[in-house]
Amino acid sequence: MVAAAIKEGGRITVDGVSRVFEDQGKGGQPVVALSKVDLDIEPGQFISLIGPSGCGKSTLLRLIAGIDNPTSGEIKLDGELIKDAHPSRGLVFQDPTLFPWKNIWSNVATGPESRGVLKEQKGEIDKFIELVGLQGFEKAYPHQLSGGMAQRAALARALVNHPKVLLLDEPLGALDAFTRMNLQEEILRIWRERGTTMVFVTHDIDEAVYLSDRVVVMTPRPAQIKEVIKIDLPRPRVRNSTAFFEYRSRILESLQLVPEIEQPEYIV
Amino acid sequence: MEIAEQIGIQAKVKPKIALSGVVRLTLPVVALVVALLSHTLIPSVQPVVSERAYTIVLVALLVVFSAWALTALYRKSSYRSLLYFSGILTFIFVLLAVWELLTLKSGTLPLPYFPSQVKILDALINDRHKLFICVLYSLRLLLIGYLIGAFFGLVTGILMGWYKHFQYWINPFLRFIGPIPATAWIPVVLIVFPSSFTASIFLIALGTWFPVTVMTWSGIAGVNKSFFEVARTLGANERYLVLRVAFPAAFPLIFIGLFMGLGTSFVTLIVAEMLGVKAGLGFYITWAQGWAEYYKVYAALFIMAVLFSTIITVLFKIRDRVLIWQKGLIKW
Repeated sequence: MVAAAIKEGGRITVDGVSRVFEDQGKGGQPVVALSKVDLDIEPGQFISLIGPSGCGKSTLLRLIAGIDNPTSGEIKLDGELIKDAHPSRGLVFQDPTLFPWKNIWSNVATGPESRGVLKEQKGEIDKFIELVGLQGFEKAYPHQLSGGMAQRAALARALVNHPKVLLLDEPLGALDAFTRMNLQEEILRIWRERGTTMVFVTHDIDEAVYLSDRVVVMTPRPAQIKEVIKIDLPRPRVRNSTAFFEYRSRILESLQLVPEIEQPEYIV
Repeated sequence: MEIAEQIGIQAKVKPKIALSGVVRLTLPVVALVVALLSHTLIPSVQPVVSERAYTIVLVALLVVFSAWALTALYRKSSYRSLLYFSGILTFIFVLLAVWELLTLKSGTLPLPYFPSQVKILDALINDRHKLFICVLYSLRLLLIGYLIGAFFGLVTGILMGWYKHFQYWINPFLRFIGPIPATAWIPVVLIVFPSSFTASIFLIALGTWFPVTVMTWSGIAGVNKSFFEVARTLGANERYLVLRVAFPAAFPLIFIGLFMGLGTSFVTLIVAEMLGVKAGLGFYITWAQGWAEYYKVYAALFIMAVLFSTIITVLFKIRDRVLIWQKGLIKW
């Protein structure tokens, strides 16, 4: 596992990054989506970004992916400045965004095909379809798949490029509770096997605690990192353990979602 | 009524349905027999070269539909299809018989404007060489013009949808000049181009270019931006994004443009042939009209119907192959 981590995972350094959208607020006001964010993600770590909507977590993910550029500051992968999108950083959205005109096999093959190495990597594509448990559905079209299966296909499509970093933007947000837990296990298994650095955006506190090495709590206005909480629990984690609940309440407090109740002065 | 059949009354009605089923199976044959009898027994009051050809057509149809009705007794698929089509087929055969009665057999409708189908069939047979040549000329003009127009429409549409600069420079011309019917340019085009052939090609291409451009442009501009973002993180370059992401994603709209362009190209083709070109189906119609030979006009119209609906069918077949991934498409 450790060897794999060194092989596949990459280190992400976010250094003083701000992202300002001009003219997008009310009355043409600029919107500050991120303000001077610093973050260091070690190779092979599982990081969750959590926070209310509008806190810039998706913006940060898009900047790391390279499909958007910071207004100031810089982001590096293994010391190299990120300027544009690259297959070394795979991206999975909440909407699987599979290409509807391609069947599952061709969707997964998009990466190798677009880089002109499809012939050499045909075996890889079968391998990754199997890794996410979609063998037998190679010829199906996206509209024939359930939400969970479509998201598995999207995972395989990103993984087939052997990314150093996998960026997941609420990938399980649209799924039902059972499919969700099922895919959480799958994601953990893939992470263990490949040692890819994972950056996982989520709304779900339980999900963040269950999956992550570290949970990054973000706040809107100013759109900054409020706190980084290290989750020091052994894996596989138990969702209803006391320690799990403690982390859960710490994050809730950090997000200021717990009303301050006066403690009763006596206990019966 | 259907609900009434499904509940209580079902048991009583059941044998009646079977009987009406048999009636529906034989209706086309009955209608054909009536048409054949009125054609052969009632004397004609209008001159035709030969009545035999139409008799042969009716007998051939009679054989086909009798055979179909017989196989329907044994095979479920032919039973279902004949049951489904019997209404419209019977209607068409009755219509043919009535039309013959109104024209050839009674002279109720005035000649030369409303000839009988027997006379039209005459023209199709006797003038077949000339008509065949005309079809070839029309097809050549149509295909060259349409393909050129569709190609430039696709290119312009993709460039406008992908590059803001192209949109900026082309949009005003497209919006101002595009809506002019291509045929309105005929006076100008006949002067500018060296021959009526090249002028017609240009007109058909122009008429096709406009709808194809507009639909391709809006198709490309409307593609879900996440597709491009995902493709970029997978390593796609700009060429791949345009040709392998934007183009297939926009194809449902592009197809509508190609379909609209085809309709326009039919109009432009026939008008161009009527005004300038010295061959083709449009030319044939004007020429026949000049001699007041309206049965030839109808013969040309019939060929046009067969030709153009076949071309549209081919286009839809291509679409069905390309858009196999889309749900809920209408069949052609």
